[in-house]
Order: sequence, then C-alpha cells, then structure tokens
Amino acid sequence: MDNLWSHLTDLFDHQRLMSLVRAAVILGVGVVLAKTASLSIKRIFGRHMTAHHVMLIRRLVFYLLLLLFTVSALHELGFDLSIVLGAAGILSVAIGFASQTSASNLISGLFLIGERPFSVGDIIKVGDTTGEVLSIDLLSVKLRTYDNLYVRLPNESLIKSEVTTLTKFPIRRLDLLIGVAYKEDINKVRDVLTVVATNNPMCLEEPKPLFIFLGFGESSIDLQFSLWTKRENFIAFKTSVQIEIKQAFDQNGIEIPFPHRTLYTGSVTDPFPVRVVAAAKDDKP
Amino acid sequence: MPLAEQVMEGKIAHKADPVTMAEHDTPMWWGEFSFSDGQALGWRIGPLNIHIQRLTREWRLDYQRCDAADNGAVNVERARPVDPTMKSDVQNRFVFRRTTASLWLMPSLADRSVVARPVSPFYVPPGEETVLFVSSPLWVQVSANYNRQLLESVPIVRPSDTWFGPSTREGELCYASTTHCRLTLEELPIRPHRAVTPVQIINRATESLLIERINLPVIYLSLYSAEPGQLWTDMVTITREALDENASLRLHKRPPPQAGEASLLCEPQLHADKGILSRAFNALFS
Repeated sequence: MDNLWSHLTDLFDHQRLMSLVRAAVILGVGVVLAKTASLSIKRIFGRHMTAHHVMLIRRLVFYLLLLLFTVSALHELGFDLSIVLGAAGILSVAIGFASQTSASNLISGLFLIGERPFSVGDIIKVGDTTGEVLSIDLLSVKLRTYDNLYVRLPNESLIKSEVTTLTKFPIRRLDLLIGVAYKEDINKVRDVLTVVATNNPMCLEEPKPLFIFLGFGESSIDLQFSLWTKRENFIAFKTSVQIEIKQAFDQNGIEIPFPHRTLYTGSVTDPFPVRVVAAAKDDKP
Repeated sequence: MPLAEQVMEGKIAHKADPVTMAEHDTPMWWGEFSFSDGQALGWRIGPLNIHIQRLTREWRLDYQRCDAADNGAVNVERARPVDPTMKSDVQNRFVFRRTTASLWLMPSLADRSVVARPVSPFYVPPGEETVLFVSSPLWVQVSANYNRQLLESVPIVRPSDTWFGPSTREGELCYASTTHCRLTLEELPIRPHRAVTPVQIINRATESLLIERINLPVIYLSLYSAEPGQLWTDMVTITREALDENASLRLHKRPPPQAGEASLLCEPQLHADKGILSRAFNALFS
C-alpha cells in the first residue's frame, strides 16, 4: 500500500506532470497542424491534380507530420529516441519479412499510380473480370463488376498481368465472325452486310466497315465483318446488328451452315443404300 | 390575375381551333398549337409520326418512324385529329399540376457536328473559292404549357453516327448527313425536315484543297425559315490560309442570300465569340 502511494506521489510529482502536459500539448498541436496541412493541400492542389494523387499526398503529409510530433512528444516524456529507433530497426526487419506481399503490393500501387493505365470510373478487364474502377489504393484496386459484385484486385497482380482499359478511346470496333454456306455468292453476302451496316444508325459511317475473307472453313466460308460504334453503344449495337444480319440473311436466302460431315465410302465401294419411307406412322404395328 | 394563372385556369381561349387552322399539304409543320382538354393531334414530318394528347394533368407524346427512306417526296401533315387510343412504338408521358392549352413544335439543329460528302471528291485549286450546299438533319422540339417547358427533342430521321478525325484515338463523334453536299442549290431538293447551309470555301494556300468530307459545326448555327417552307442556317465561310495548318470559320449570323426573305426560328446552341472560329485544318476537311 505504501509502495503504491509512493508511486502515485511520484507520478504527480510536479516536474513529471509538467512534462506529461507538454507532451500532450505537442501531440495535440501536431494533430491539428497535420489536419490543417492536409486540408490545405486539398485546396491548393485540388484543381491541378487528380483526386487520387491529392489523396495520396494528403495522407503522406498527415502521417509524416504526426510522426514528427509524436517523436517530439516521446522525447519530452524522457524516452531515449536512439533506443526507440534501434528497436524500430529490428522491428522493421521482422515486419518486412512478415509483410512481403503487402510491401510488394505497396510498391506496385505506387507504380500503378505513376503509370496511370486507367483512372477511377474507367471500365477495365483483368483476366475474366470486367468492371468499373471504384478506387485505386496503395494495396489494391477495387472494381464493381456488371453483375454488381465488389472485386478487390491486388496491385501486384495488376502489374504482372494484362489489363485492358475499355473506356480509353471514344469509339470501339466490333468484330463479327460469320460463316456462310459454300454455295453462297460472296459478293451478294458482302452487299447484304453493307446494307445492314448502313441502315443501323449506331454503326459509324467512318471508319468504314471492314470485310475480310478469313478462309475456307470445315463447314462454311469464314468471314469477318468489323464495324465501328460509339463506346457507350457497344452492347446495344452488338445485339441489334447481329439480329439485323440474321434477318437480312433470312430475307435473302443466305444460309449460315451448321457443322456437317459428308460420309464418303470411296470409289471402290458402292454408295450407301438409302430407302425412303413415306408414311412411317402407318407402318407401326 | 397574372396571365400565367389565367391561362392555367383555362380563362383564356384565344388560340384558333387546330383543326380549322390545319393547312394540309403545307410543308410548314412548326409553330404554336392550341389543344383543348383531352384532344389528340398528329403530325407527320417525313418519316416521323408524332401524336400528342393533352389531358388535364399530363401531356402524352407518342412517336414512331415509318420505314420509308429519307428521300423522295416528303409528306407533311400538320395538326390533324388522331385517335387518342392509338399506340405507337414510343410513348412518353409528362405530368404537370395542370396542363395549359399551348404547345410548340419547333425544328432544331443537331447537338453534334454534321459530316457531309460531295457526290465524288473534288479539288479547289489555289486562289479559288466555291460554295457548297450542305443539308443537315433536324430534330423536333416539343414544348408545352404557359412556361414553354421543353418536353422532348425527337430526331425526325435518326442520322448515323460517324467519326471525324486523323485517327481512331483523336477526333470527334459527329452525325453523318444522309445526303450529299451539292455545288448548286437546284440539285438539293427542298425538304421541310432538313436545313440547308451554304458553305463558302476559300483556298488561299499554295496547294489544291481536296474535299472528300466536310465537318460542319451546326451547334454554332442559327435556324431560319424562308418561303416556301424551307429551313436554312447561317452561311459559313471556311478559309484555308496560306502557310498555316489552321482554317478560319466565319459564321455570318444572318440568313443566307439564297434564302430570300427569312425569319429567325432558333438561336444557336453554342455562341461563338466574334462569330469566328479557328480550327485545325484537318478538323474540318478530310
């Protein structure tokens, strides 16, 4: 009991109390200063830089100032900073080993922010995931997919893999692979496709549609018909133009063949005997 | 009682009956029209059919396009009574506290530039000049009630989109004019659903100027109506300067001399300072 009492008196010793108050004041001033500095950065750089870069600088300044004032406050309390820093050195090695992945993501994040292959609001495709970029953070990029799922992609994987930004340019090309029967007149097919493209208002008149004869396929003559459209219309255009091509082919009697096999028994064998049964229903017992 | 309130109370019935003022076979389809409660009227402007009905608390606006192509003779039927129960492809309803009798149908130009081609490309030699007539598609702006509230803007013919620029990365999204630009006015048929812009091209450079496509920024142009029901825009002069990659584009801000007597129908959507625009040469021609 006496021991505890002596501790309490020690604690409330005048000098100790004063240093505690000083440390608290330093810390308080530090927090206020760091917040003010971070807010002023938003005001000063907000107009000239992207929201993302501003946020990054704000955080950096805030934590740096806070660290400085915390160190001063600790110094005021009588901590020997060389020991603290030495301990921090050993600790940082341990943390470094433990957080290799996070560090790698962090560095990748900095590269991503510097390189800027996409920005917030863009639609990107990474592997099988396509979605709108919600945020680019230091460790990961967050996407919202079209079926409204929230996907977190680690920055490291974005740096390593192929990323397609779908909203970089205002117009896009739709490549349609079309197979027509061998009996069809290719010039007529080309004319029918051109009329479909001309009549669809979403199809750009320029750059002109591209018609490519890909080759002689197993069951069909393979063609590529590439059309340009406004980026925002891409899905609607893809649907409407393919419906119109099918209708135009039906109207003009152009066949889109199914894969088929012709059985050939060779010249030395007789043809397969085929018997046509007229009324199969009546033959049944 | 303020005028607006009197109109709202239905105390002012100063407009002529739309059926009696209907002028069939006249191509002038625009103007102010008066509707009684529950009345339905229809317009046919080229391929576009619009039916408008006034109810006590709402305006109903139906429209559909027939498959007829955007050429040949154009039918215009103005303010004819129609069956209010008839259904169209698109039906839009606009609800108000109380509807008033007035409705305006006005033509307006496209909200993007229009790109037109001559029948075949041609050269303008150095020091020469020419006038091209470009026909642009029009939109119908339907506005109603005492405050002339815009209800809808409907394209009479939905023009195709097109891209105008040096590459697929840089450029401008425009509308493609479905008709060719012509060197003489006689070659351009009068159509009440399209507006004609005379474009004067002056080549002051030392090289011939090849004209394959021309980009006309119609958002800077006013719309004028002239007899007989023809719509015109301001005349535009494009000058290609010598030793310069830029072309100056001057908007005359008055009806073109070819239009004869004309009156202003619609102000430009964007105002160009001093009426002169300087554009990169390849942003106007290709």
